[in-house]
Amino acid sequence: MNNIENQLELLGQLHQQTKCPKSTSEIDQAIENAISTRHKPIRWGWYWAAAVIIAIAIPISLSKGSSGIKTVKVGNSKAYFCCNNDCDPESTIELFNSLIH
Amino acid sequence: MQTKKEQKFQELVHRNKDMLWQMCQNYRLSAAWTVDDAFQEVLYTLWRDIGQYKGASSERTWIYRVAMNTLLSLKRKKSNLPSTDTPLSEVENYKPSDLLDLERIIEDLGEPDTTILRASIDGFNYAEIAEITQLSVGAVGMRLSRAKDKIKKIISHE
Repeated sequence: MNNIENQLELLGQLHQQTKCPKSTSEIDQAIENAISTRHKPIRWGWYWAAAVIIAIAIPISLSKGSSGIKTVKVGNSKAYFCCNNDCDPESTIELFNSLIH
Repeated sequence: MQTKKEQKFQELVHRNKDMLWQMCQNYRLSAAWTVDDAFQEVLYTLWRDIGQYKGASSERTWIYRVAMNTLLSLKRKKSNLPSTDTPLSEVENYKPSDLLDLERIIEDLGEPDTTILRASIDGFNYAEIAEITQLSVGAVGMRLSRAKDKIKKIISHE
C-alpha cells in the first residue's frame, strides 16, 4: 500500500507542476470568448418576447375558438355546431332542423 | 472598459489557470473534445456561475467543483463517440509510464471515486472533497480507502 501512496503522491506532485501552456494573451482571449458568448442580455430578451407572444396568442386563439361553437337543442339532445368565420350558424341550424323533422 | 465582475473573473482564471489546464488534460474526453476545447468550456461555465460563488468554500474548491462538473458533462455529452486517450497521450512525453498507467487506472475507477482520488492527490482535504463531490466527509473517507484498495488489487494483478 505504501508503494501506491508514494505513487499517488508523485502523481500529485506532477499535477502541481503542470503549467498551462497558454500565453497571457491567449488566456485573455479565452476569457473574452467566455464573457462575450454567455450572459448576453439579448438572450433574456428573446425569452421575454417569446413569453409575451405566447401570453397574447393563447387567449386570442381561445376566444376565436369559442366564438365559432354554437349550441342548439335538437329534440331532447344538445348539438354542437362548429362554424368558421364564413358560415352563418343560425341558417346552418335551421337547415339542420328542417332535415331532421 | 471592463466591469468589476469581468475583472474579478479575469483575475480568478489567471490565478487558477494551471490547475484548470491540468484538470482538462487528465479527463479522458471523447474524440470530439480537445484539451483546448475543454478549457474554453470550463471558462464558459465559470463565467456563467461566478455570481453563485458566495465565498462559502475556498475559491480553489469552488473552481475545482465547477470544472469537474463541466468535464464530466462533456464526457457524457458525446458518450456515443469512441473515447480516446487524447488528453493523456499529450502528457505521455513527460510522465513516467507507471504514473501514466496509474492515471488511467484512476480514470477507470468511475465516478465519484475518480474525482475523490484526484482531488485527494491534488491536495484537497476530506472536507473540501466532500464540498466538491457533495458527499459527506465520512463517505469521502470510505470511498477513498476503497479506491486505493482497488488500485492496489489492479496493480498487483498486472
